[in-house]
Amino acid sequence: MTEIGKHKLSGPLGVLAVLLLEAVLFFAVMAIFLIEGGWVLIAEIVVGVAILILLNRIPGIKTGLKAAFTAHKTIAIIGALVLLLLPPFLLVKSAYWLFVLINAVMFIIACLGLNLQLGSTGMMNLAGAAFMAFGAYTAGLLSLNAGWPSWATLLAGMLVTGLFSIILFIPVLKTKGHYLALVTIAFQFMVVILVENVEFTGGPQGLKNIPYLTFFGYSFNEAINLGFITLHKYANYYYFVLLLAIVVALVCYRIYRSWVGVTVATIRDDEVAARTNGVRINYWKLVIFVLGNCFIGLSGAFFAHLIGFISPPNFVFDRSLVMVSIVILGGMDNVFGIILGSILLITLPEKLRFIQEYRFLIYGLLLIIMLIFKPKGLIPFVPRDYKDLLTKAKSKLTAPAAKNAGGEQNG
Amino acid sequence: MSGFEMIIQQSINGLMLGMMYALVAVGFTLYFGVLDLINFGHGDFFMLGGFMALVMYMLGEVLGLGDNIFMLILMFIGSMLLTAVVAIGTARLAIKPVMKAPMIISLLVTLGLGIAVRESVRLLYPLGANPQFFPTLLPQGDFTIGNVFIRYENLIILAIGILTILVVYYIINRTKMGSAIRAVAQDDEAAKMMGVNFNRTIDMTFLIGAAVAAIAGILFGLYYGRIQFNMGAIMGVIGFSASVIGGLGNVFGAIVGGILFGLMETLAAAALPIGSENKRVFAFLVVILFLIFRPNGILGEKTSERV
Amino acid sequence: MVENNNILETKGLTIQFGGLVAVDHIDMQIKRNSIMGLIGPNGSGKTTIFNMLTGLYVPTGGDFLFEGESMAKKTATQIARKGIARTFQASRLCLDLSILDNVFIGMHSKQNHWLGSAVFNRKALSAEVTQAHEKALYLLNTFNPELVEKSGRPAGSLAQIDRRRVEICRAMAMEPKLLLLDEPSAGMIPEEIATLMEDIQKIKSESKDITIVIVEHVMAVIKMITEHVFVINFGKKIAEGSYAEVSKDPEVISAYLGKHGAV
Repeated sequence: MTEIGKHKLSGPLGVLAVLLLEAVLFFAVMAIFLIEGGWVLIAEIVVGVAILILLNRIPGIKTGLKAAFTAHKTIAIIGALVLLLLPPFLLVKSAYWLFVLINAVMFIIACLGLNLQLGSTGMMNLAGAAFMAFGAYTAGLLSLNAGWPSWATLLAGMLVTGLFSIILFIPVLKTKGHYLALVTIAFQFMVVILVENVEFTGGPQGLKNIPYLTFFGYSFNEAINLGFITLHKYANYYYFVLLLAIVVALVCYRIYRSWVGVTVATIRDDEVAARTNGVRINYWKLVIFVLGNCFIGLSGAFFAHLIGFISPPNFVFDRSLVMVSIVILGGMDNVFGIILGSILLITLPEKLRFIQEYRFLIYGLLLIIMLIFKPKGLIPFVPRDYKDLLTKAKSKLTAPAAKNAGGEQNG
Repeated sequence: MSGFEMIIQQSINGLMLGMMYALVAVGFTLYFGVLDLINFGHGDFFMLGGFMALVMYMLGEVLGLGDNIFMLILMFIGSMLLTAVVAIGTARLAIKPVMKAPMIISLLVTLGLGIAVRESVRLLYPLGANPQFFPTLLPQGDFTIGNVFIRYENLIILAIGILTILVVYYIINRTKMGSAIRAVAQDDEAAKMMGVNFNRTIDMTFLIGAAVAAIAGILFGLYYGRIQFNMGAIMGVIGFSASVIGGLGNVFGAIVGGILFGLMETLAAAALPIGSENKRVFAFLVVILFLIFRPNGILGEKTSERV
Repeated sequence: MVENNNILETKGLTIQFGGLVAVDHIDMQIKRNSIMGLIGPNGSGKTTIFNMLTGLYVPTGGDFLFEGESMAKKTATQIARKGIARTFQASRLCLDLSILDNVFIGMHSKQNHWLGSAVFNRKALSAEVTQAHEKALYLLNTFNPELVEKSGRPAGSLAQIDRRRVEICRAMAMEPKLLLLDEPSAGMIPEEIATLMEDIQKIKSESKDITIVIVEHVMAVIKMITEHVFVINFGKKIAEGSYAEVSKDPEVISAYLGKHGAV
């Protein structure tokens, strides 16, 4: 199967297949934003999900496309980058939808962090929104009260969140399963109550007039005039959050593809087995918990600057639930799943405002149905292959040698 | 009012709250014992119980019942039955299919169920998004011992709570249904082999859990005079916390845990200079400390990890 | 000299669960570079001993020395890093992970997992992966060449017997000095047991420094590959010696062999 796929898709045909697939994927996602009618949109999503499930069923297609992507890596990357530049142009008439898209990308960052904890290491964290609050309030307070520049507030939002997650250091190591879930829920409620009642966070009124992002004199509050077209000021935020998301996704993907990924997956699946193989469980849980929360905090800090006004209702338990749902529905321990999950779960409720009244009900029911019938998510975890990491000369030597040795034993 | 009397006064308030928490916690502990399941939607059964009682009240008015004891009985029985029916239905449809799934899946399903129940109430009940006034049906008035005020309501609510606990205790320990529940909690495979009807036992577990939560919801309405569709979420967390403090799987522990949680909240608000808004922060902090140092609760047995 | 010759010594090793003494003052000397057997009726405490030797249970009394070093207070992780590897009665693989990943985790303590190098230093990682990959395939090939072909598939797709083989590969990937095998032949048919015995002897002959302790119910395995056997009953050691010796011991016969009627 693999051989056929590889052969067919390695030439110029392969380049075409790669770019075509990227374009189809991209426009399928953009269609969610561009389509006005609700039922058309639902039809599109049903078809899209059906195609995804079908693709998962046919291993030949998947390996073939995968091979094509590996063969034409540079072209694939350039193609994807070009496509990702387009949304502000496509959504030039609807700033609101660009804003929703920015939100979705922001959630990709947070949920990649959560995925490191929940998906990769199996640590329940139902306090995602609380950690987002740490990032947001840190960035807000530092820029309002201390006048820190944007790059510093973002960085501080990320690091302070990481530091604060050390508060939960002992409970996280000492508890697991339901108990860890309870610890994080209790923490989530505690944080919101405190933020509401402490003075320096502005209490229920929150923080107002948080400055927009400015980097070395370049203000994100200006529209981008390209001569032939004027992009909304949100375009600045879009490109910036996209850059952040790409960096975070790359880091997460590389962690997944390294020994660290294998190690934490073993902790997730069987702690006893991990221990008897010499894995330092506490160390890894701590590293992953802090790192994941750093990403969540970064996302929160960006959020504060994006909307300029934060208050406790932005960070309630429901938000944490949305984040966990994204990880589960997208696909645990799968970077691509998280990306898809964020876009769908953040955008759809906005799009489905025509059933405004019912959207939370539908959301709850959808969650249940998905969990019963497709618990591994839309893009399930796939066992790692190490093709791109194996030095070719050596792996070629290994395979026939193994076969020969096998033949001997059988004979 | 002396310091001691103030503590007594606060303890009475705490006891009221704690009784409701305890009744919610009983459900958590039952589900966990029988199904190894934490039902995060259980708080919404509590809320549903309150709303079902209001529906029954409307029915009673149509039937020409006044604000009297019969109305109260109709509300309790009707609400308990309806809430239990909803609980059993959701358990069959959504919880049973994920019982063997990893814990995180069942956890999220129950969270989803909670959302669904909550939203259904908001959408189906007339003006469901607003707080709903709960009729005053308990005899009003109070008496004092020293400087401590005791309202008749307090005593009645306490009595209903204790009665409920006794009935639950009787059902679990003295009836055939109860022994089936205990058998499944001990070892479901063995219980199945001994001829226990597993599916029925699950239904019964949800029936008891939901009916008791409904009682708590009605008591809450009677005590505070109003209920709201979203009051279940925090109640669920508190109920779960209480059952953990007491020791998950232990019904008596859940009651102790619930009352402790209620006392902790009110006494913390009175005694600590943290303001009444932050009383819950203190209570949750205690829960987290509990999980660290006594993860099996006050009454839970110490279990070593199976290897 | 005698001290040096024992890789592992237990001294009065004891564990109590509540009131129950599951393992009661066990003294064993495990000779370096040998294959030792640990036998006894079901529930006699063999797996519990393994659980203590690998740090999963903390002994309530006594101690055990690995290469002369006291280990009773050490964690499972520390013990594994000292060079004790094990398999489990019901194999404990990560079923969603690939066979390859399951073997890789055995090499954990020799890998470089600094987060920075995982993210930034792909070249070093690539070299390490290539090397680990080669070693893993070699190990898999030793036990079942088919596993090499299947190495990318989830471990959950394997039959029980192959899972157990992968688990032995994972333990071998640790390059342990002491390997504890907990009923490796459970559920296997006689032909498979025969291959397994060859495999175990192959492990032994291929590594310079490895000691194997095997818990086994199939006496043929014990008879054929072990040079020394400890017999446990009700948590106590009731006999030790070569298989020929213990199988004549009247206490052993009444406690164990008699019951099974097998010699």
